[in-house]
This record gives sequence, structure tokens and C-alpha cells, in this order.
Amino acid sequence: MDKGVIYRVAGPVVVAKGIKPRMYDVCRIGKEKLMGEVIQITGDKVIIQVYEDTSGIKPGEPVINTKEPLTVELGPGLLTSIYDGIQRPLPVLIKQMGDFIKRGVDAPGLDQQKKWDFKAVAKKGDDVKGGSILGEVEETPGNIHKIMVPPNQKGKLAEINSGKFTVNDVIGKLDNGFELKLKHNWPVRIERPVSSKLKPEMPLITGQRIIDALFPIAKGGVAAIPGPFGSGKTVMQQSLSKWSDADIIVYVGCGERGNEMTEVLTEFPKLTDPKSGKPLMNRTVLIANTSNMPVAAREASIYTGVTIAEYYRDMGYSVALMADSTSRWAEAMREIGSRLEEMPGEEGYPAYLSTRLAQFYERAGRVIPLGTKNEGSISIIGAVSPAGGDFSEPVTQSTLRVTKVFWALDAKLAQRRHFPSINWLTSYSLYHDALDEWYVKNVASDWRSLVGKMMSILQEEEKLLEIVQLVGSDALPERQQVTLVVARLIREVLLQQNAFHDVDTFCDMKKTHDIMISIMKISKMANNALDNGMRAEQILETKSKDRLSEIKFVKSYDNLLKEIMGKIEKELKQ
Amino acid sequence: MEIIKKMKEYKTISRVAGPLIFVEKTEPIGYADIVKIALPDGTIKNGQVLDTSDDIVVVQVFEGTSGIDVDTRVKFLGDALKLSVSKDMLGRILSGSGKPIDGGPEVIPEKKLDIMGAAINPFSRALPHDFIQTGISTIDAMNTLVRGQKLPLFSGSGLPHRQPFARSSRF
Repeated sequence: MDKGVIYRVAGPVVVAKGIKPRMYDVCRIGKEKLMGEVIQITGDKVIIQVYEDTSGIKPGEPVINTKEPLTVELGPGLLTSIYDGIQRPLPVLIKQMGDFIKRGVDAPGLDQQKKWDFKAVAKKGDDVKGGSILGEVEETPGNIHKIMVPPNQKGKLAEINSGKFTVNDVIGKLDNGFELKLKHNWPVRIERPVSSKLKPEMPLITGQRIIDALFPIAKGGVAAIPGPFGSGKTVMQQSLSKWSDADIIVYVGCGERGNEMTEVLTEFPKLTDPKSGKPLMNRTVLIANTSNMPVAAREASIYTGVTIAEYYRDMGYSVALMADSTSRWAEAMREIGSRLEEMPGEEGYPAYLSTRLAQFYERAGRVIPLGTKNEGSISIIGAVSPAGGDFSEPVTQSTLRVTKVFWALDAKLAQRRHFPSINWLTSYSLYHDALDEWYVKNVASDWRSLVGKMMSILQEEEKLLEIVQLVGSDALPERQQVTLVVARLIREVLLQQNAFHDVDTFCDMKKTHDIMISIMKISKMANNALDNGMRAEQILETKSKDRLSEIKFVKSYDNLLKEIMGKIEKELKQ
Repeated sequence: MEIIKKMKEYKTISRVAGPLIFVEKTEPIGYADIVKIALPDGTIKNGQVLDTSDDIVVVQVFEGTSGIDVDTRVKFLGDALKLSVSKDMLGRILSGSGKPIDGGPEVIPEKKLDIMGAAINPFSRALPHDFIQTGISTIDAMNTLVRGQKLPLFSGSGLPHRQPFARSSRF
């Protein structure tokens, strides 16, 4: 065994002597065997970042090199789990150390006792390689967990058995003697290999009108949600993880408030998946490193999350990873960087900040996994919390460089109670072109032109509002007054959405399309009415157009929509 | 006090810089340990270990380093900063380091707690949902306070933030 001693302790950074590890090997520090990871080697000195509190640790205490990198256990039992940053299940930690997180506790990521019902799909004598599917386990009701050959193995199946197994039981063997189990381990910092990457061309349907219509994200795409405090980042991420049409959700609460994680924990098991009718928790993995948990584990939590996401992607699922928030992750890197006496970059963040962010976001994508033909995807949605809402700070800027969708949350909109408070003028999505074909095929052929019209009306409104502030709306030409009316409808009916209303919280593509069509019809009717001699004042006074937002809160809205549209038509014809 | 007397004292301060002192040639010292610093004039200061290694130990001095010289003696208490707590502390006035400054006697400890606390396991938290009535209508109606939440009070210089702060103790 590779054993050494501690030479120096400075916060989460420990310098050890006498061990010969490789980079990123996991070490056990001190008498309490705290977990740490090698992050620098200089001569005989090894710098280790420790995932737990180091108070009281002295120079001279032992250090043991496990000679393994930081890995996660991948196998059935991940779904519905809640982990800390290094994949220790939090409920197990409560049993072992009570309501507070103490240190030196080791807990395996997967339930080692539970027996899973494994049905083999592959047969003896099959040629298999990394990623080949050996069989299936029903992990949670309705969610099939496919057991795969670990990515770095290949050979002929010498033996494979169906039956009830724990994650550690041997379910089969390869001809080279490799024992196949339900679980395998994978180092978190290494990307799981894929056979090929595909172009993103399907949207991730989120059920949020402003996103689905104006700023869509593709399956396998990356989006950033920067927003100042209280602008609804967390509600937004939670809505997305509740309603997006991904098969698996991995939610990483990285450095956020403990009470918010609790909200997720208490709410998710109660919510039902609109597709399957089963609890949403059944398709969710939660990773929580709240703001007062050790900072080094925060750095690891993002990698733990994305590795678990890749594992489900390899089964051919579409996975959505929510990271809330990457700013806290960057701050964790900054804290450790400064302990290492590294040269600080912009605002004290390490110089490698943007590379690390890019490496993380690049693990998203739509791919053909190894060994199968079923495509899988990871979409990453990262929240960024820029201090003071200033988007020019380094984390936001480095994130924008690698993400193709930008949902800018706006504190002013939030104060005006406009939710989701995504600013429609500064946000953008670069996936419109890539997704166009899908929309034409699956929703409506006029989708793209409708979206374009919505955006141009909103942009015109912005210009007109500047004039209105100077001279008042009465001074505007009548046609522009009508534009303002239509723009208000777009804002109130299309963009605003109530995340806490049973019906309005999720809006399917057809309804979004119907709303857009209706608004355009009203716009046309109002403009025609102007041509026929109606005054703008009279158009402003019509009551029925304000009733359009009622359809948002009704599940089968067809008749109501017809009734309202009929009334509007009548009023505008008078 | 008995234990403290038995501990080794070091007179090996090699450098003093800002709030930090650097002590050399020590036995292994634990990270975040509490330090007693005895100045030649008899003053006692407290500090905490910020960085520890075989060669040098860096100590942050809570009361500032004025008056510290190379003859100053340093004792490492081998424990993190702990505060004696007791129910009788209610109604007392304490200094920043937990010593009574109201002229009364020392607090008789029921427990000694690490002032850094420990992180709550997020899984064992309950969702805060109890309303706290403050009697200040702008808080109660518009920005409701909930038991178990945090309440930062933002203030500019010259603004009377002490009054609402003091009122908050009546909640």
C-alpha cells in the first residue's frame, strides 16, 4: 500500500509527502480517513484537495493512496436517489451521522443489499463490446435500466444469467474472464466514450411557452440561465426539470441554499410526470452540495452529475442535466485555486475557468452511444448567478462562449411580476435553424414565420415605448397604437406563464401554436378594423381581447377559444 | 486552565505581518486550532491556525498584532474554537469572543460547541412554512418572514438600520 504523511494543511488543501500517486488519484487523509483527490504533483510533494472539513488535521498524520481516481458507481438504484457531491446518499448519511454532516464517513452510492430482477437480452456466445446491452432491470416503475458492458471491455459472452441479483453479484463473464455485474465504476473526470456525435435537430420540449416558441433548446444542446437574485432562476430550473420531455433528469444543486434543495426534495415525489402519470421522482437523480457543505466536494459535484447523465445517455435515453448554479462551482474553483497559490485571472477566478466550463458543457450532445444504435442525448441547462446582475462578469461571459441558448432573467420583469422573467429582447437561441425542420414536420408549417412575427412585434413595441415615455401614447399614429395592443397580448398571453397553476404550468406545442395564431388573427382583425374606419381608441376599448388569457388556465380550451375569438371578431366589426 | 499550563509554549515567532504571525519549529499542529498568545507585558491574545506545515505555522490573531514581538510566547490549544453555551446566557451581554462584559460572572457551560457549526444534511431539513408575525406591516404583507429562513437587512451609511434590527428581536 502506498502510504505517506501530511506535510502541510491549509483549509481544503493538504500537501503530503512519501506517496507516489497519479494525477486525480483519491487519497485518504489523516486518522479520520477524509477523502481527497490529488490535484498537483511537485517533486516529492503531492497536493490534495480534501472533500471534507480539515479542522484539527495535523502534519505527520498518515495519507493513504487508494491508487484509483474519483469514480461513481453506475448501476440500478441511481434514480430517486439524492446524493452529496461525491455520490454519498444523503439518507444513508443521516443514519450514520445524524442530521448534520460530519466527516470521515464512507457510504457506497448504490444500495448494496437490494436485489434487482435482471432479464438477460444478450445470449451466451454473443460478441459484445463496451456499451453493448446485456439485459434489463426495471429500476423504478416504467423506467427500464439497461445493463451495459463497461465502455473499456470487449469479448465474447462466456456466461450470462437472468435472475435476482444485487449490484455486486456476478451476472455473467466474458471469455477473457472479466466478471460482469449490474454496476460498474467510472471516473468522473473522464468523458464516457461514444461512437459518434449527431447534429442537434430535435427540440427539448419544456412546456414553457417563451422557451418553446421564442428561445428553444435542442436535445443535446446547452443553455445558460443567468439571472440576478430573486429573478426566478431556481423556479425556472425546477419547472424545466418537472416538465421537459427528457427521459431522465439529473439535478445538481451546487452551492445553493439548503431550503431550496429541501423544496425540490419535498415537492418532486408529490408531482406526477405528465407523460407516464408516475411520480416525477422516479426519473430523477438529485445531487446536493448546499452552500455550507465542503467546498471541494462542490467542485466534484458537477462532474458526478454529468457522469451519471452520460451513463443514462449511453442506454439511449435523453437526459436533461440542471446545474444550479455554475457560479458557485466557479467560486469553489477560485477558493481552491487561491489556496494553491495559483496565479489569479479575471476577478480572482483561476485562469483555466473558461476551459473547465467549456469541458463541462461539451459533455452535452446528441450521440450514438457505444455498442447500440439507439441515440441518446444530454442537454445541459446551467444557471449562472452573476453578482449584482452584471452579465459582463467572467463566469457569465465564459459560459456564453460555449452555450447556444441564452435565457436572460431580468430582475425588473420579476419585480413587475412578469414570470417567467426571461427578457425577450436580450435572450437568444441559435437553434432556430437546426430545429426548423422538426417544427414543420411535427407542429405546423408556419411555426417559424409566426415566431418571427412575434419577435418583430415585441421589438417594435420596445421602440414605441421609448416614444410613449416622451410624448404619451395618444401622440402615436393609430396603427402603432394597435401594435402596442398586440404586443401587450403577446406579453400577457404568450410569454407570461404561471408555474404554480395546475394547467398553466405546462403548455404543449399545439396550445402554444394556437395562442400565437390567435394573436396574429387579432392583430389582423384590428388592422382591418382601422382600414374600415374604426378608431384606435375604440379598438383599445374592446373588452373581449383581454379575455384571451383565460384559455391559458383551461385544459380543453378549444370551445372557449372559439367563443372568445368570435366575440373579438364581432366587436371589431362594429 | 490546568491543561493549558501543561502545553508547550513556543518562542519561535519568525515573522509578524498584518494580522498574521509565523511560528517556526513546532510539533505537528492541527489546522484551525485555537492559539493563545502571551505578550511580554502580560496581555493575552487569541488566534487561529490558518496554515500548518512541518516548517511553519501561520496564525491569524483575532485582536490584531500590535505589541507582538519575537519574545512573545505562543501556545496551541489543540482544539477548534469552541464556545461554552448555557441557557443562562439569555439576558447576558457577551463580547465577540463569548466573554461576559456586563460585569457578571463567567457562564457555566452546559455544552461546548464548535462555533463553525456543521452543515445540515439537506435531506433532513424540513421546508420552512411557518409565518412569523413581525408587526411591521411592510414586512408582514409584502416580504413575509418565514421561520427558518434568512433575513438580510441591507442598509446604507447613515440609515437607521439599528431600529428595525432591534425590533426584530421582539418577533
